[in-house]
Amino acid sequence: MKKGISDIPFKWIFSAFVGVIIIAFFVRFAYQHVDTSNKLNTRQMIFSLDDQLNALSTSQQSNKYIDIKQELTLDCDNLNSLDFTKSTEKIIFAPPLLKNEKIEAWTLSWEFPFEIANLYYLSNKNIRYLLIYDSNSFNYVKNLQIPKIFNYQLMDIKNLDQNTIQRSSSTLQQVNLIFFTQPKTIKLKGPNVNTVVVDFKNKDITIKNKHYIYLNEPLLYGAIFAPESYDCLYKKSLDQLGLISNIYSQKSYYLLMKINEPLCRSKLIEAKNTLDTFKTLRDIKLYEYESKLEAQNKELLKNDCPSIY
Amino acid sequence: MTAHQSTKAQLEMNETIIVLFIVFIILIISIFFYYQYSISNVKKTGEETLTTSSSVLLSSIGSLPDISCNKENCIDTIKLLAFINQNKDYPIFDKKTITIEQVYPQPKLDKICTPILYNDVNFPTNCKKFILHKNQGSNPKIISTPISLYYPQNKQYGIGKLIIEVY
Repeated sequence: MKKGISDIPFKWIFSAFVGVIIIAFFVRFAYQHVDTSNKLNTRQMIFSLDDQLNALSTSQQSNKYIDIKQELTLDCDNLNSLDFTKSTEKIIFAPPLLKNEKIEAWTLSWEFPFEIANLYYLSNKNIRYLLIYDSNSFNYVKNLQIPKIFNYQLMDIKNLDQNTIQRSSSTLQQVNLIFFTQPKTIKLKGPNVNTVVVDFKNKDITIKNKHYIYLNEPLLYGAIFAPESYDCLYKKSLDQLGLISNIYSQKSYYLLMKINEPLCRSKLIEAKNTLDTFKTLRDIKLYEYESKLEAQNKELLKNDCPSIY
Repeated sequence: MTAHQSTKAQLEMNETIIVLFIVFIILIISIFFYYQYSISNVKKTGEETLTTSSSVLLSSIGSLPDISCNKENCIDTIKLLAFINQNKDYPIFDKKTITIEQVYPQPKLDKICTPILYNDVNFPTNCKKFILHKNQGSNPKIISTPISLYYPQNKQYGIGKLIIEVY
């Protein structure tokens, strides 16, 4: 009799227990599925971005929009999204975080004096660049070749007003103020503000009181697009300059093995010596050696010798 | 409650357990097949991504400043030798063997081009290929494209084949 009475509650307890197991199993399965899909999408997005940048690099200069599905964070050597990191040898100037669905991408070949690398610039509409000039720098700023897909404007220092910028930028993620003149302090509520000071006559770029040599426009664009990570990317660019210079130095050494004509040999030895110094330089002397290399290469071509580049 | 009712309850209980057991078996089988399907989909996506990446690399490798002619669409063979000598390992070369084979002028020997062979008077016909990056593995997927090769020592151009083996 007692056994029969206890049968019904046991059945309910058993059913509830089994039900909980089944529901837990399905919930876990659903979570796992979502997690796997996200991981897959993240990897696909990063690989696709890397491929699109590779495809862009086949031209000396090009730009395009790229769709991204998730937030993208960038540091000097990596592309990151969620838990996935892909290391890259590319020099990508971009804000640390890109969270729009559509990002703007641009590539430009950096030559000094030979081609060093393709530099990449990424941004989105939430990041505004203000290039502030005075009468001395107007012509220079006007002739900068930043593609129109980026959110940038030129502004005369006389028209620079904190309230106007605040009104037009309050919803933005970031505002980069690039002064081609004496800088002014601007503080905005909302967006992050980065200040870059460019003294193109003295070939100097200042970011957070740190000075960098202005090494042609592609690196100036780098300072405009990524002041936060410029320090690391500038070093990476100079390392690449050293690497390519070393390749050219070795090339001149291999050419010397084959060339018997005395004039060509002496010109090649001169160029090799210049390259050996050039690859180690990190200061303003780079300009002096760049001109020297250019002249030596012209001399080689003029004398019908194999050129360095 | 009688003994007959008790036996009926026990039977019902056994019935429930059997039904649950069958439901579980069906669930496990369906999830097993679903997982198999998902895994094969992920593998397929991975392979497609790798193929796309390799095809893009195939078209972009010729414009790497490390090996390309300056402002020309060709591969500078001496820069290529210098680059190989540097042992620089780029992330884009990961899981790939990248070879550049000389097609014209036709090589007489099937050797790997090195600075020693370059120094020989018979270069470039004394060697066949430049190995940019080597990776070991089995069953590679091979893709290739013709490229223009430049020999700066005699200012001549040749024809080559860029081969990427993806593991």
